[in-house]
This record gives sequence, C-alpha cells and structure tokens, in this order.
Amino acid sequence: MNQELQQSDRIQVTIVGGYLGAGKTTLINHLLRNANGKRLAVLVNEFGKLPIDGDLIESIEGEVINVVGGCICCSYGESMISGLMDLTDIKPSFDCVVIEASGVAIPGSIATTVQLLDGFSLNGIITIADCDTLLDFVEDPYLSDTIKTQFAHSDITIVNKTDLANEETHTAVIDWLSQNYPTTQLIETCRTIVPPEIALDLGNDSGQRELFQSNDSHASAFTSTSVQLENAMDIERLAEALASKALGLIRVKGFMKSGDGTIKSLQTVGRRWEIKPVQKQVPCHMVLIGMKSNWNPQSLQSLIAKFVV
Amino acid sequence: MPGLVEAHSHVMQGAFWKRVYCGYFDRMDPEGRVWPGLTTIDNLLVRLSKADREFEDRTKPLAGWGFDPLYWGSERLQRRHLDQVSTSRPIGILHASCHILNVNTKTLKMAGLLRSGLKHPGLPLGEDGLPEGELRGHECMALANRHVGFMREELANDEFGFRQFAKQCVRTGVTTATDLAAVLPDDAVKMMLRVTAEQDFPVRIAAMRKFINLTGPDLIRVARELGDLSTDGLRLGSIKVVADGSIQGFTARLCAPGYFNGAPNGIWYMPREHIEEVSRLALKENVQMHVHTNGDQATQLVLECIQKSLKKHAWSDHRFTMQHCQLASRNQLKKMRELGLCANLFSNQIFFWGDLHCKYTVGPKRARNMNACRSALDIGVPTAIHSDAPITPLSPLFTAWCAVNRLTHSGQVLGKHECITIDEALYAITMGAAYTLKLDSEIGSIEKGKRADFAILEQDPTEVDIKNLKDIEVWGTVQDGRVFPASEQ
Ligand SMILES: [Zn+2]
Repeated sequence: MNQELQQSDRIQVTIVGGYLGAGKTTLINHLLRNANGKRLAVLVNEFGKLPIDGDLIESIEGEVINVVGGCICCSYGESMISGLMDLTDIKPSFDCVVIEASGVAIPGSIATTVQLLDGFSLNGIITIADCDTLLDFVEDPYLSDTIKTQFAHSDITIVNKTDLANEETHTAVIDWLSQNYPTTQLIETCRTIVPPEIALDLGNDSGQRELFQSNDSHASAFTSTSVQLENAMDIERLAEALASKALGLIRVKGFMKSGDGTIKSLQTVGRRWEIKPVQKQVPCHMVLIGMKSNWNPQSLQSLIAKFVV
Repeated sequence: MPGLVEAHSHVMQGAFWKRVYCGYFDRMDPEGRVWPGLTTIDNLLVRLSKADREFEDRTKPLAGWGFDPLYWGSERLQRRHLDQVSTSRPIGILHASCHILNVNTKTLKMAGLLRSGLKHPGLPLGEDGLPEGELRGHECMALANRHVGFMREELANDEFGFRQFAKQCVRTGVTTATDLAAVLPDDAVKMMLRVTAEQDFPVRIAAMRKFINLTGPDLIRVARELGDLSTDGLRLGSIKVVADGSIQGFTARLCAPGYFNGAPNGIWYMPREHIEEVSRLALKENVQMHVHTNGDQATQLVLECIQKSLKKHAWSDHRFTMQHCQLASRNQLKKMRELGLCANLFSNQIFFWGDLHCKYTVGPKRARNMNACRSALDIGVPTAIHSDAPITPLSPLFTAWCAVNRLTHSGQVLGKHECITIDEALYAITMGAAYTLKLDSEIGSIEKGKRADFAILEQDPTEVDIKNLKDIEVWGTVQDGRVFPASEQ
C-alpha cells in the first residue's frame, strides 16, 4: 500500500498477550461471538492451534478458518507482519484485527511494529494474567523478565480466573500489578467475559446501542454511558482528562467538533488516547465504558461540559 | 578421505547466489568464481551498479546478501547510497547475520515507510525525520522482504538455488548436507525429491521440518509423514525447534551476568511448554529432534525439558542434538552426555564474530569458552561442528580450521584450551556430523558396507600445517560411487 490512507479507513488492530493458559483463546472466541456484525480477522501465533470453538466455524480453507458472520481466523504465515500485510489483499476489508501473541512474545514490541504498517492503526494492547499462576511466573528465573515486559505496555490488563485463586493470591496479584504498572487499567474476570467493546472498536456511527450483557457477574460489572456533543470541544484536554487514572475509564470512543470546526474522533483505551481527523459526516456523540462500582454519569457529563470551547 | 558432512546448513545458500554477494570476505560462488570481499561503501556501490546494468528488467528488485559492515568502522550504509545505484527499482541488501536489511528509497516507498512520524527501535531515522533505510529485526524486515525477493517460502522452493547449493557442496568436498530449518511445503518436497533422484545430483540432503505454523502434535504427525517419503538422496522425518535468538543479535537467552555491554536479555522464540510437549511426543513417536539454542540459559531450559520428557518416554538412541549451543558450560555438556544428547557447535563464529563477542556480547572470559569443542570431546558428548551457511561460508575444512586454531579475524587465539587436534576436527566433519544425523552406519567413514562417499583433496589434511587446513584445495567428490570433479560443476 503506497498511499497514506485516511485515518478512519485504517484497520484497527488489537493485540492480545499473556502467557499460555491465561485465557487468550477464551477471549478471542468471545470476541468472535460478539463482533456485532463487524468483519473481524484473528491472527494466531505460530505455535497455536487455530483456536476457534467448533460451532463458530463455517468452513476451513487451508490455513484460514471462516467464522460465522464474515470473520476469519488464520495463522501468522511467514511472520506476524506479513500475515497482517496479506490481510489487506482480502476484500471486503476487515474492520478489526485481533493478534493473538505467543506466550513469550512481547505485545508492546508487536504494537510498535504494527504502527509502522500503512493501513493499520493500533486499537490497544490487552494483556491477560492468570490470577492463580501469575506470581509463580514472575518468580521463574527463565520467564521473569519476559512476563514483566509483557505487562509494561499493556493498556488494559485482564486479571483472569480470579475464582481459582485464593483471596491472598488475588490481593497479591492486584497489588503487584498496580504497583509496578500504575498506568495500566486493571479488569478482573473469571472467564475473560468482558464487553467486546473493551477489546474492539465496535462503535457504529450512531453509537446508540446497549453494552454487551451477560449473566456472568463479572460481565455485568461493566457499564456505559452515551453523551451527545453538540458544541465544539477542546479535544486534547478532554482526552487527557478522560484518560486520567483517577477517572478509571476503560474505554472512550467518540466523534466531536474541534475548535476549528472540523470533526475529529477521540479514542481512549486505559491511559492512552488518540485523536484522528474524520473525513465523513458523523453524528457527534461519545460512548464511555467503565466499571459500575465507581460510575457516576452526572459527574462525567459535567466533566465533559468543562471542555466546551 | 570420507565425504564431508555439513550437519547444519540451509540450502537457501544456493538461491542467495542469484543475488549479489556483498560480504567483507572473499567468497567462492557455486561456479567456482571468487567474489572479492567489499571493504568500503564505494566498492559496494560499484558492484551493485554493475549488477543493476546487467539486470535488464527495470522493475525487478536488486538484492544483495552477506553484507557485513561490522568490519567497516563507523561508515554506515544508508538509502541515499543505494539510491545512487537505482531509484527506479527496489534494492535490498541483507546483512550476513540475516537480522538487518538495508533498502533504497524505492523499497521504503513500496513498504509504505517513507513517512515522517514513525517511531521504532529497529528503524533509525535521518535528520529529515524519514527512515534512513536500515531495517533491524525480523518484524521490521518483514515490511520490505516481499519487495526485494527475500520471502522465505520463495527461497525454499527455488530449484535453481537448490542445484547451486549442490555445486557448492562438490567444491567444498561435501557429500551430505542439511537443510536444517525447512518449512517443507508440498511443492518444495516434490521438487527436492525429484532433483535429488537425478542420476548426476551430487549430494545427499537431510531436511528437518521447522516447528512453526503448526502445533506440537501436528508437527510430529507431519514429520512422520515426511519420514515415509525419505529416499537415498533426500532424508526427511526429523524436526527442528528454535528456543532463542542469536548472540550477535543480542536475542540469545543468557544466564547471569547477561550481556557484557549491559543489553537486556534476549528473547524466547517459543514457550517452554511447547518445547516440553514436542520433545515428549518426539521421544514417544521416535522422531529425532534438533534444537537451536545459542545462550546458556536457553540450553539449560531445553536440557530440563528433555530430561523431564525422557522420564516419560525413554528412547535409548534418540540422539537429540543441540544446534549451536555456543555458550554451553561444562556442567551443561555433562548433562548432555548423561541424557544422550549430541552437540553441533558453531566453530565458524570464532573467526567471524569472536572479536565482537569479546568486546560487546559476552566479554573475553566467556568468549574464550564459546563453542567448547575440547570440553565436549573430553566429557564424551558426540560432537559435530558447522557453518550454518549462508550465515558463514559452507566449507567443512574451514570449519575444522576454526575448531583447531580458534583464531579470530583480528588474529587472536580465542581460548587455546578449547582447541582440538586436526584428527578430532576431521572426525567432527565426517563421523561426528553423520552421527548427529543418524547416518553414521551409512556414511562418515571409509568402511566395507558403507556408501562410497569421498572428498578428494589435493593435499593430505593430516600432513599440512594446522594453519593451512582451510587452504587445502578440493578436487571434487565421489558420492555414492559417482565421480564429481569440482572443475565440471
Ligand atoms: Zn541455522
């Protein structure tokens, strides 16, 4: 691809990392099941099985598994980067790509390389930790530095299988992660059941839709709010505020007018934020996702109002 | 003497000769022509420009290989240099280590990298904020490989390159060689089966299926299926597993104290659970496994995995082989002997990168113990030595010279205590190597009942001065009773 693409046409890439057994496969199947009509491609690492639940498989063509709903799953091929490049030859093009990193890969360095690729943009790094075994790996002389580096650039860290760990371990894991990676957004789950919006950019242009619901007590711990934005905003300062640790938002996606009258998209994932120009006309609104436990839509509304220009 | 055995090479060496040789050292091509080493950027550009003129299709890429600017001092190759050769066709120059690629502006454009605002440790930027044209590391290189003809799959199924490799074997006295990390897609296997069956194909190839793009159980199944296809000329059925990276690329996994220059520890290429699983299945299904380890921590981890697996499935004659295991300690070598492992040591590294290892990677103390042939033999580990061609030149006599003299490029002896005798080195490049391939009952020595494989040399290697071992001329080979003069290749 030789020409610069419009930012909004780029394929959004989410990187899912974590050691073997952390729950990457479960998360990926969950995302495929709840892709909300978006075309999703999953790239699995060079040693993994193609990790798709049987009922999701429509057909298998060589290395490619066609999944219900126009999604596909395939292995890296020659390398992760050439696997991604090959995806651009497939039409119609994909909306999102999820890269399942191998257990010893460093998601942060995959992300750095993805950002070099024309036609793609980074949507976030999600690293999964098995609550019960994480601290064993941290102390393992072979793995310690690898595991630590895996979390270093994580936007969202999912602490999974909290039901299998005893209370003491659970507390120790949360403490260790929050002390060593203060900028990572922590989420706790049992079976990586999280709203897919956390991992994928599922926002459609109207933005009005219910957050994924499930009977799983962990999934129902999430909530979201949608805000209409009529006025022009100081988008950079708003982005900084929404990504602040104190607010603890997991993800924000929105479109709004900037001071110069152009429309921009704003996206936050954990503490990271990104503003991009938007070419087409879209309604101005914003969806914010966070945890029910500290959710206060009124104060979010008034926070946002402070950045009207 | 018996035909020489190269137990760790890659047949893509042959296909590389379709590209322009850009190395620092003189190197002989399969036709017997010696390409002088390049010592300045100007030399390099002259050679590339000549190739550019001779290569008429202006849209095709111009590729070079073997580039080794380590010896050039501070002079660095940038895209503006390569643009002097051509701005209309993509150019890519692969470094000797195969870990760095230099490209021209056209290639950067095709790869979508001629943009400002890029930030990546493997992509140095110029003062104008645009990439200088150096792509470091496999992920970065992958962005450009397809534009300059360095796709692995292409190289694997290159019949011309395969034949060139065989010619080079004849010139260096090799009658059996390896393709140690092949992906072996169906069409490549078919091609290799057909070509190796030809009446005048001069070398036996053992090709190992690399552990990539399939699961452990699938790998073992594929290896067994491949094994059933084995012929006299093409030996299939064993596997190759890669545990860590390279020492000179700072990606090998080292034990404390780590890298001499303070670089962070290297990277694992696969999780230990996979190594454990595949070694267990390989033992169970009697599939021989070759494991690439460079750093001592990787060697230790693999030893632990295999030890565990052996407790579940004993196989008295598995001959799993550690490939490179350059930093293996005496304790690790003892463990290898105890577990029945072989070592294939990378003696050529001492000459090509020994000085660099002293200065940057592991420091002088550990460098003196690298590729410890003496220790391995004394401890009783079955030992071979190798070139890893195309990383270093294919030539077992040169490799033997390295193990006997342990001289670096600057002329220092790196660890005299690890030198071996000429007889031991000659054994390592014949029987030693054949043993690691489980071919010692067929080849590796001149004995009744074995194949008629000979290396025909112009001098007796046991009578030359040890300093001259590498300079012995090769007349040609006899392979399976057929005569192959080097001059007719
Ligand atoms: Zn190799």
